[in-house]
Amino acid sequence: MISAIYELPMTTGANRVVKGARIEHVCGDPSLGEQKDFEYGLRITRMALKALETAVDKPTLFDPADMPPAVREVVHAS
Amino acid sequence: MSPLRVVHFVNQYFGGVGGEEQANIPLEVRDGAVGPGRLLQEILGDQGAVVSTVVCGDNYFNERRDAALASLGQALKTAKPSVVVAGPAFDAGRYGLACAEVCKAAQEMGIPAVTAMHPENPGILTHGSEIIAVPTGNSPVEMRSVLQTVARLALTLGQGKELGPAAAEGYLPRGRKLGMRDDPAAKRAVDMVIAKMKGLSFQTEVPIKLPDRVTPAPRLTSLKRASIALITTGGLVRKGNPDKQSSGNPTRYYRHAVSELESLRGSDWEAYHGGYFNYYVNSNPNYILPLSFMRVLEREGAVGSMHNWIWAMPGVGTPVAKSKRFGEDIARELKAEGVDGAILVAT
Repeated sequence: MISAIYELPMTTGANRVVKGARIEHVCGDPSLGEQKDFEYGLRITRMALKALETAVDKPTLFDPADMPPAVREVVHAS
Repeated sequence: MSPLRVVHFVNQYFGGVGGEEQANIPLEVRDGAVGPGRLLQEILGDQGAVVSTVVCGDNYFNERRDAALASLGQALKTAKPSVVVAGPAFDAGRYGLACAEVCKAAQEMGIPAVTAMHPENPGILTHGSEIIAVPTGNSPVEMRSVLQTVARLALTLGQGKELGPAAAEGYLPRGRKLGMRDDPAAKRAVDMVIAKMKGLSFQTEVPIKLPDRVTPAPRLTSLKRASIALITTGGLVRKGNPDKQSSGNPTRYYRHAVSELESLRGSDWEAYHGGYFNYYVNSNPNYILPLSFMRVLEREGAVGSMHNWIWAMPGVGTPVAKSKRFGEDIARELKAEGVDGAILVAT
C-alpha cells in the first residue's frame, strides 16, 4: 500500500508499505509544479510495483527516494 | 455438521416468472434455489442449503397481505428452515416491504431472518427497527457483495448465535442498545482502575484488538505480465457523488470501470472523505488513485496491464472488523477476476 503516514500501516501489520508524499496528495506534490509533480507520482507508483516484486518477511518500508538511479533516469525521460 | 436449512424469498422478477405484468401472481413454493438464490447457495457452500424458494408477485403480497402471509406460514412450517433470507430488494419498494414482512413473519414463528435493501426502501422506513437488513445501493450489480454479507449473517443467526452491533456486522442499525449497564460510565471506569491496581480481574468494555499478523504474499515473479489493480480508501467518487457515498465509516465499497480512461480528471471525479482536506485531490484525483501513472508504466512495459476496475471507499472512521470484512471481500473479487497484485492508496 501507499501511505503518507507510513508508520501507521507499518505498525498495524501491512507488509509492503510505500512512502507517499502527503495525506492530502499521497501520489505527488502540487507544489513542485506540473512536470516534477507528475515525475514524483510516477516514482511513487513505480516503487509500489517494485515492492510487489520484492520478497518480504515482515512489514517493510519502500521509500521512493531510494529508487535506483537507472530507474530514475527512465522516470525523467518519460 | 449438516448444512443449515435456508428458505429464500424472492419476488416474481427475481423468481424468473416475469416483470410488472406478473406482479399479481400468488405466493408459490419451489424446491431448491432460484435466481439470486443460486448465488446465495454458492456463497453458503456446504454450510447452508437453500431447501426451497418462496416466490410471490409484488402486487399480490402488498394487496393481499393476509393471504400471502398465510401461505408463507404454511411454506415455512413445511420447510422447517433454520433461517429465512429475503431479497435483496435494493430500491424496489413493494419488494422491500414484502421482504420486511416475510422477515417479521418468520421471526414471529421463532425463525431468524435476514434481508437486504436500500436504507431508504419503504421496507426499512416501515419496519427497520424490527428486522435485520443489510444495506444496499439501487442496483443488483452488487448482488454478490450484498449476498456475501447476507450469507454471513444468515449463518450466524441460523446457528442460534447473537449478532454483534450493527456497524460491526454490516446491517442497518435498528436503534437498539445491546444491553444496559447498572452503573454510569465514570463509576465503571473507576471500579476497573481500582480492580486493576488491586490485581483483581475485570472485564474491559473497550477491548483493544491487536493488529493481525498477515503472512506476506509472495513476490510477483513476472511483473511484466502481471495484471495490477488499484484501490483507494481516499473517498474517490464520481463528480457530484451520484452514488451518495458517505464521507466516512462506509457501509460498503464501490467499484468503477476505468478500462477506457487514461487518467482520472478533476472534471469527472473528486474526493468525498471527511478525514482530510480534499482540495488537492479534487484538482487531481490521481493523487489517491494513481491511474495516470499506471498508464505510463503499462505503456512502458514495466507492468503487464492495469485491471479494468478500481475499488474505492472513504476509509476514515471505519472500525477494524468492518475494514477487515471489506478487505476480504475485495481480495475475493480481485482473485476471482485474475488480478495478480494490487496497490492500495490510503490517505
